[in-house]
Amino acid sequence: MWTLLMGCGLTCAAALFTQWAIWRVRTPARQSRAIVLIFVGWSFLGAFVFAHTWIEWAYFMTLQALLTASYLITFSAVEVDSPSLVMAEMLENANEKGVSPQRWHEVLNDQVLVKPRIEDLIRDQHVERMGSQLVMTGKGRGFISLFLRARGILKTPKGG
Amino acid sequence: MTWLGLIFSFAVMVGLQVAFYRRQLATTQGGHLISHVPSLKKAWVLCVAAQAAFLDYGVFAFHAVSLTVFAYGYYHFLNMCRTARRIRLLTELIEAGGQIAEAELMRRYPAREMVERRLFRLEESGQAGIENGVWILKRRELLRSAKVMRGIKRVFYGSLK
Repeated sequence: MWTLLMGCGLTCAAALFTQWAIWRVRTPARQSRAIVLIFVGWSFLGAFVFAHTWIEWAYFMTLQALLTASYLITFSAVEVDSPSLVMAEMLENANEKGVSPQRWHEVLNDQVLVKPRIEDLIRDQHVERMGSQLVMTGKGRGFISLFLRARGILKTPKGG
Repeated sequence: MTWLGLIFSFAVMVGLQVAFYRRQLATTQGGHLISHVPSLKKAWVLCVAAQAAFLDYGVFAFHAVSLTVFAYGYYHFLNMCRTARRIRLLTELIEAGGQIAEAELMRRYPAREMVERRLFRLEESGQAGIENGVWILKRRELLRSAKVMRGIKRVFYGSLK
């Protein structure tokens, strides 16, 4: 099991290095998809090297899938600036002068916070633009249904 | 069949987290604002401890790492449910029947509301507060996360986008 654990670590390191090398040359248009492809590719290669029985294979792929999903969800905060993190940096830059309530709204407006996210939804094919209308695609419905179900189970209100 | 046991314990962790969270929700005022971190932490500890009772050292280490990575991913998933802009925008779209004018979508979830929600959360968590009419930084945890993200961004993109 220790070999499998180390194998997972090495496989992830190789995937991260591959991603870094590609990103430094040219950032892919659909970054999440590219990350999944890199990690899945390395996972199969890693399983071939480190897993020798089907149960080891199952263990290896389980941890690789978890690592890929966790990394993907973390990288989404790198890909797009999180408003809360931007706000924390604004507060640091302002020092003791602070940030006035109206300053937030001047800097963090619809063009900065909303418009780019709509464009991301279109790029990721969750939404299609038809004239002035935005239409949800099947992919978008599938994506959001998981979150809506979780919200229903946890009884949490509409977030944002 | 220890691997199936591991898969089963992922489901147990989610079940326990939901149960703990709902109990907390029922007993706390302003329930919808409570964090899901304490319930997840409890569920994670119970699941890892249960593994320690039944497995030998090497298998336990693998299970503990897997459960920790799962808990980390699940934590971010729950965070996305509560705070992600794209989830909120898609929710508005679903509620509008799957089609909406772009201007209407921006009216339903404007930047002003996004900022107000985040200022509220920053204040609630003690990260920021108002002094003499301006917002100031009170704690540095979130700022540290911001710096880590900037660092990762620099590594992958060379310069800041």
